[in-house]
Amino acid sequence: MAKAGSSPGGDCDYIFKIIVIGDSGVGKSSLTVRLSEDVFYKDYASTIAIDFRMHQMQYMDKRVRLQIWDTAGQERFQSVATAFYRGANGVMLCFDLTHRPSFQHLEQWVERVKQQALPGIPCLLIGCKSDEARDNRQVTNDEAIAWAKQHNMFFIETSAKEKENVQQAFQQITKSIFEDMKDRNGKNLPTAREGSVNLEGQANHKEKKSCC
Amino acid sequence: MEELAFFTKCIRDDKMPSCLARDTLNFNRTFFRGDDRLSFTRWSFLLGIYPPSSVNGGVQQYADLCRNHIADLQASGNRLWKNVVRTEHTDSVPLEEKKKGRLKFDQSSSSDSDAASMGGTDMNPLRPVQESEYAREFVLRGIRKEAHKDVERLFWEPSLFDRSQTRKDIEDILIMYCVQNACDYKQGMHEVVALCYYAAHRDADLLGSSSWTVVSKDAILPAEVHLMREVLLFSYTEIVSLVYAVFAALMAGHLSLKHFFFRNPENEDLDVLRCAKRVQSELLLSLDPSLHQLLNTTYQIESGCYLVRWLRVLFIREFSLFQTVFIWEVLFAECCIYHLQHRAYSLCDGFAAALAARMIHHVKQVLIKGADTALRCLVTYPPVDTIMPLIENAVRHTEGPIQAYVVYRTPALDDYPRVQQRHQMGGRCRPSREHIEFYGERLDSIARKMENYRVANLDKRDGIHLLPENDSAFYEALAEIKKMRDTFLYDMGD
Repeated sequence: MAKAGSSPGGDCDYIFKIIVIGDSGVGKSSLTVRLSEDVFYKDYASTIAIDFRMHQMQYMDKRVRLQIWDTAGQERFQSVATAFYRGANGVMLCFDLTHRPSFQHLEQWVERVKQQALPGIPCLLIGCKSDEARDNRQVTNDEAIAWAKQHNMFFIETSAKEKENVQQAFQQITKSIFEDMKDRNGKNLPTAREGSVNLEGQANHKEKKSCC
Repeated sequence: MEELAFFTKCIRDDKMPSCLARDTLNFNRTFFRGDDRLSFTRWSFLLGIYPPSSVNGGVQQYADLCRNHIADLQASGNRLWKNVVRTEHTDSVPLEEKKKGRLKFDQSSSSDSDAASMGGTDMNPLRPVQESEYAREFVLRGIRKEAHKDVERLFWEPSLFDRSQTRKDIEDILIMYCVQNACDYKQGMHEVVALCYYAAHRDADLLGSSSWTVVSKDAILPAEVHLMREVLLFSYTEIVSLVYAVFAALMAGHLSLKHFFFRNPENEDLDVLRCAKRVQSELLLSLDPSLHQLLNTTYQIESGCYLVRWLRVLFIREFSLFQTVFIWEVLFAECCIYHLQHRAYSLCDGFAAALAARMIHHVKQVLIKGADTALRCLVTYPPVDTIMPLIENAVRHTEGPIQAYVVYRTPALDDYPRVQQRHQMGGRCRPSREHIEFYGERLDSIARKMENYRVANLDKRDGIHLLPENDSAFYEALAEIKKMRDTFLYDMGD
């Protein structure tokens, strides 16, 4: 994987690696494509192994480049897990609001994150397909919030199709990553280009909120 | 149709499939191949779906044998399908002994209704008791559900994929395979089946077309060609059975693509990961040390991030369908050659891995722009307009008996503009790096061929060596060629 933050490009201050996980078909790729390309494809093919996308955004006065790693729903086991989780700065945990089993499987996804990613990595719970959920909701907002709260993370409902809350979701995970950095470093946000966002080198893993 | 005449000749001369493998690897011919190439039929011969020849020779005898063989294949496909349908309806049809309630190769799984994979239903009191008929049906429905999700998202360009029957057939083939092999469905398998299905339909359409004319050459009678056409058309009457047979042969058999999806009990790592590592570590190092250094050390890109997909579905996502069909033909030809020589074949050591390394090298100019650009390029491989040079170069760097079969295309001047330029300038211009590399690779190929020829001849003569003085001359010539190669490729003289 590209070394996150080791050499920020000329046009950004931070590079964060965000991994997107969840059951097959919940809408992970649509979410990331909507963010990176601002389009929604009805005919998007299933992901095989891993896809990779980029998105440049502004967070407060910082220019942040997100490396978004989108995994196939089946790839939770050995084949690419190590490469996928290594060096990740944040996790987007997705489920389909219109498909209850994908919500029930979240527990196993969280376990996977605990096994593979850095302890305390910032996570965000995302309920995908909020547009379809208007007629066919299988997971209530309350129970999703309760689950997220129980696992110390925020919850947000998105619709890639209607472009609803997609930017906000990525803003939220970025915010959580910055807060995580702040907690770990025990100081305010580093100034531009001051610190490399390379959590691999940070051994100071504090007990934190808002993360897995 | 020249293809049919060629197949007929191979059968008549009792040289199928070696002659077919040789023809596939003759890049002088394949470069100019027409649109009437029967690729799926070629795959079927190379993978041993059709019998290689009749016992007593003769096209008529072969036609009879082949027809019976295909009828058996269709009958076994139908039997298998009936079992699946009955199991899906909870009839008491015992599955294979090895299935113990759950259908698995390994611990990896994904079906959302697959209890063990997600654990969620492990605690479900309503979960069917293992080994019960209902448990089997439960698992089968899980497989169908998972496969369905992916097949529904198969939006390939040919209109064939707009038909609901196509999706149903692909799903059915996947279910049959999973039942027969007691395994889960894995993402990507649907695209492998889909490509087979596409190629099979293309051949069926070509064979069924009334516009073709019999090309009779090498004393092949038109009647024999017609007979061959009839037999092949008969095999396409039950296209699902035929596609299933090819898919099953591809997954198992000598190719063993299944080990790119499931754990190989002989290896600790997944084969696909092992192969990915080999491509980016070993093959790229020998091909381009600076690029190897860039990807592995500077960018620290892990091979599994992109190569797992390239290799698992054998480049379907990286090339057009038409291009992939030909890549597979080369791959199957290589596998067939190993089979003919009774040698074990490994995808990790053959053409597929060499092609992957070549593909990385092919986009070098993009890769050197930066880590993010490189990663994006590798994960979303750019379209390749002319694939033949890439394939040819990959074959050049493939070790093994394939070299004894391959005929490289003579380079056209327009492929190498610098050469043309040099000619225009009356030969006063220094050759370009590209030009030097090209001839270095040619020398490398010649050296490999000589070595392989030597090995093959040693085998034939049961290990009896040539006279020492001949051996010495041979190896001195080989050493000279290698020295020239090293000068061209690595600027290393002695």
